[in-house]
Amino acid sequence: MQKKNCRNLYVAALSLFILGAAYLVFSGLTGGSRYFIEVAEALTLPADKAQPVRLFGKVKPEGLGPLEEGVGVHFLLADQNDADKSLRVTFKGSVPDAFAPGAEVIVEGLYLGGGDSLTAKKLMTQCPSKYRKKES
Amino acid sequence: MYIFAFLLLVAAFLCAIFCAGAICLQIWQRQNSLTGLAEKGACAVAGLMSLSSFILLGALSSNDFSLEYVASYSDRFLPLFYRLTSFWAGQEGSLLFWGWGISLFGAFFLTSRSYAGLSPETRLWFWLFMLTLLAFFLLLLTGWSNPFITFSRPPQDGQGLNPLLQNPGMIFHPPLLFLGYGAFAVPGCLALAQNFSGARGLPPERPAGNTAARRSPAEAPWFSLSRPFILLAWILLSAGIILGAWWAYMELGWGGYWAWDPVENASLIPWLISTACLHTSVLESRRGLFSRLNAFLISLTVIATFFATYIVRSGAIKSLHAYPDGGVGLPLLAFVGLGLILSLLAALRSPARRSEKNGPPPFNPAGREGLLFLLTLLLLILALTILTATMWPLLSKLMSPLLAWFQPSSPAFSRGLGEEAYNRACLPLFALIAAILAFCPWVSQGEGGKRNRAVLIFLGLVFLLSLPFFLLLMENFFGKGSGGDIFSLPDSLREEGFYGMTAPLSASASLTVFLSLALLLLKKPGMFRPGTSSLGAHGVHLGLALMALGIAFSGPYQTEGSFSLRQGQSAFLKDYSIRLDKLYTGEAPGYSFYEAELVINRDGRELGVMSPQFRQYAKYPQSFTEAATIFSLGSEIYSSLLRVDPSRGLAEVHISLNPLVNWVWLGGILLCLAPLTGLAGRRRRPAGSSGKAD
Repeated sequence: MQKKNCRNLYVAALSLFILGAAYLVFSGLTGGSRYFIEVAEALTLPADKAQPVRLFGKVKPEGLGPLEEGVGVHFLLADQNDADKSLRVTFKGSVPDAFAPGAEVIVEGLYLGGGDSLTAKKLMTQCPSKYRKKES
Repeated sequence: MYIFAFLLLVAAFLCAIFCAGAICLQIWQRQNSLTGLAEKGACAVAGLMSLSSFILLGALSSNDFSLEYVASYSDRFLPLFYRLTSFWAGQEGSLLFWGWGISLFGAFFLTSRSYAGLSPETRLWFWLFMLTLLAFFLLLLTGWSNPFITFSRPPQDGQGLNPLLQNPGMIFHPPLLFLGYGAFAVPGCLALAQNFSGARGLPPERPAGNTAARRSPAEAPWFSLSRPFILLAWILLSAGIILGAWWAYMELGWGGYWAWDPVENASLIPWLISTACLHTSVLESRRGLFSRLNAFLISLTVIATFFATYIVRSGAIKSLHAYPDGGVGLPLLAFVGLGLILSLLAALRSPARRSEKNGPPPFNPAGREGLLFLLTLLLLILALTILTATMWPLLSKLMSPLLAWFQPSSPAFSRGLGEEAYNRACLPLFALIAAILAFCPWVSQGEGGKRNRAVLIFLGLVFLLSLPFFLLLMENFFGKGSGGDIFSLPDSLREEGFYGMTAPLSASASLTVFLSLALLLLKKPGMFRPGTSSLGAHGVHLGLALMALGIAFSGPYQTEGSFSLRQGQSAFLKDYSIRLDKLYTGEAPGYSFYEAELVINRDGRELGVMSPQFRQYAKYPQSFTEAATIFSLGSEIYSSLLRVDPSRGLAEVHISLNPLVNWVWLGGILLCLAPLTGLAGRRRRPAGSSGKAD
């Protein structure tokens, strides 16, 4: 009888432990969700409130230049499939290696749907992939 | 020549398929006369893959740009060393390297004493899985990912290796990962083979209904037979991951080392599963527990390595590394699915069930095995969390109709998770793991650690009392500071809530691990004798504690700033002054550069001179920074030269102070080297170590 009680206690403790870990994971993850989208998709976001986004796109050769004050860059981020669709991005901070016209980059920041610009909190260039895209 | 190399791969594929087919037939007929053929077939596959690998290496060393692969990843500027390492620079070469590694590990296992102790049935099953694995690689190499495609008109020079990849860290990071993945194939296939053959631990007499097992001698369990491979694979995988992080720190110029990118996560998932498996195998070897779970976990590790490759190569998940689908995504996914079914079947097979029924002592949740089980559970929860979070952009897209039902106004775009989400979800669990490491050695296997109660209470007190100490230390010396009032709520807690405690928790857990190991050394010095397997385990735990301490400080308490400086000008970051002494230009083979000479002072004392570079390579339109550091076990100073305006004599520099970052690398080195002592002394355990504190 005592053995059975003990086992129930352990099962309860283990369940609590798993629930605790699950809560930690769930509450940690739910706070950091954002859209992972292309530029063309971002342009269709509703204009009701600014939302955290991660945008994937290509740096256009035109409109690229350093910020007038401080370290940073402003550029046009074009959709990877439709270069006519683009967003003006301003980024203040260290510009990563491999950032150049035509480079595939990722930017993160708050974006208000319908707008044509974004102030990025993060700017990342895609890794200098060893497994490069084959030229078609 | 290259057609010949391709034909070698085709021959290897046919050989693997033929042998695997013949083995299937034998198993179906309950015979085992073709074991020799399977062994010869495996050796032939290894030989053929070696030959074609040497041909590719020859092409790389001789700059033969008629081979598309050489032209894509090498050029005349590259020194011979980098040219040879281009072998694994592309998808085709890296798959060949990985497959070649598996074939050699298989051949090496064939010559081992452990293999000689296997029953013919287990051998047949082992080669069936191994040859099927190799056949899969060869299918990719002769189909979607052929490294021997030639140009009809070879170019004069190749495209070269990206400058960011010309770094020792990046040169050794991929092969270590691939060799780690490859070495796990041996225990993975052996676990499946033993469970399917049913020969493990069987008595020589004939069990009812199993004619095959009658001829089989009793054989040792797979984790014991393949232990050197498990340890070697774990060491290689750990080294590959740590080297990749170090490369990111030194080469990418941002002063960080882990960004929770899908490609980074992809290698961490098999590491977590294999680490869980290492701990359950301890329980199985000492107490006969969890044999089914253990077999499943090692198979899952192998499957996770393929799934990692799927994430990297399929282009299904967008990441910083985003590789396009080279056609191998779907076959990899199919292989993963098949492997998963097979692993589940193997885990449910009767031999493991029978050995559990044959009377292992009952599981004692209050003892050390309970803590080991919790540790395993935490590792698996972490692996599952990271997997789910990594796949979330894909899952959220698939589930968008369901999500739209809850939130009709939300667009059905894919959603993903940022770095903070990973940190908040995973780091508390890592801190908990570190804490378990401190207490585990003092909890006895039997009655819940009664004999070491005093030590456990002492360690518990150290853990709890050091928490506020670390919180105040971090906030006042490394953080933004709490405005001088030590009784006010620290910034990290005010902003982050419970999650603000993660870093102090990790640091306290690390300190408790150090004390726990020191006490162990005093009370049980025999466990630290060279050649004992416990020495390796304790070394790994010490390495992990050092890493946890380094991450706790360097992650959230990095201080950084960017400054525009003229020659002779100074800038200040916290109590450090940074003076630009010189700015000059130079030429090196393949690139030109600017170099800044930065003199760092603190409290009027010169700490050193750093020389970060800003490089322009001849073949690349973009510029690259080459970071410089002043080594310290306290706050390491890290600098990169972001931009130079020669007309105004202006240099833009980025400086960061990374507290305790070198503890991450020192801990990493220890973590990778310590298990080597376990490899050397695997059969020796200190006398009397099985009791209260091993």
